[in-house]
Amino acid sequence: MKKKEIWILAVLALVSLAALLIMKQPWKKPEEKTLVAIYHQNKVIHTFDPEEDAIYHITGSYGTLDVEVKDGSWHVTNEQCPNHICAGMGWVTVDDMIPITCLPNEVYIMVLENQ
Amino acid sequence: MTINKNRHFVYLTLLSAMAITLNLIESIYIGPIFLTLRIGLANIIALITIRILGVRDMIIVNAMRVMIGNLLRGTIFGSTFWIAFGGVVLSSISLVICDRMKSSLMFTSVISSICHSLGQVLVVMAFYNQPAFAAILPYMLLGSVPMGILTGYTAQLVLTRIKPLRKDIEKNMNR
Repeated sequence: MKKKEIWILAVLALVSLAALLIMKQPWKKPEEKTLVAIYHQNKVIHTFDPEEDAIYHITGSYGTLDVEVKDGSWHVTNEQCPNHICAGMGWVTVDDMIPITCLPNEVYIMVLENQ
Repeated sequence: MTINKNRHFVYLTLLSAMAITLNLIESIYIGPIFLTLRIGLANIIALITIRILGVRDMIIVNAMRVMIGNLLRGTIFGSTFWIAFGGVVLSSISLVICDRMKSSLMFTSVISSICHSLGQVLVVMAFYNQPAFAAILPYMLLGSVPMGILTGYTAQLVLTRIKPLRKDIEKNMNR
């Protein structure tokens, strides 16, 4: 690899590291209340408070899936989809910016707003 | 002339078959390593193709990989197809640009890997009309660097053992 190319890759890696740090915002105080939304085909079909433990049964475009909420975290279980990527994403909290996505079911779960 | 033409066609067919097979093996048996991050085994074939056959054939191999790979998985023209298509289009464009700029194989591989992830995320963002999906980009960008190095290194190992059919690159294979 040429020296110039190594520099380009180093800059790209640094930019992504900086973006990750900005996204995580470790210096930011936690918000009082946060709502999480479950979307199906770009429409909010359900909202939940991550502090309230519950299991939500969702019907997607391919099959069904369950969203389990526990101790401020949530994850997808019992998913009926070919890839199982949504379940593989594991437990997610408000601090995680990445939305849980199930493409075959056209379902995604992301933090809606801070109140 | 005919022998060269036939050899070219055989190479193209074999590389397409290998790309489709690797694509299927990765999606069925390996899956994502971290969140949605994949190794990109089929990218090795794209790199080999652009070096030994050229740009046009690399585009053919990539197109075949997406079309036939998704057809065999039964996801053709579904959401996963368009996401894969977006990734392949952007990674192919990056491969062409890197080839024109005579970049090293490792750099080409990493840039192609980054562009593949970028293309996929852009399609997901357009698909769901949700810019928040851009949040996954830094993770994918960081993950693409080691994956690109891995695929680039593998392609380099293969290329030292194959004689290219491409005339312009024969003398400068190991750049």
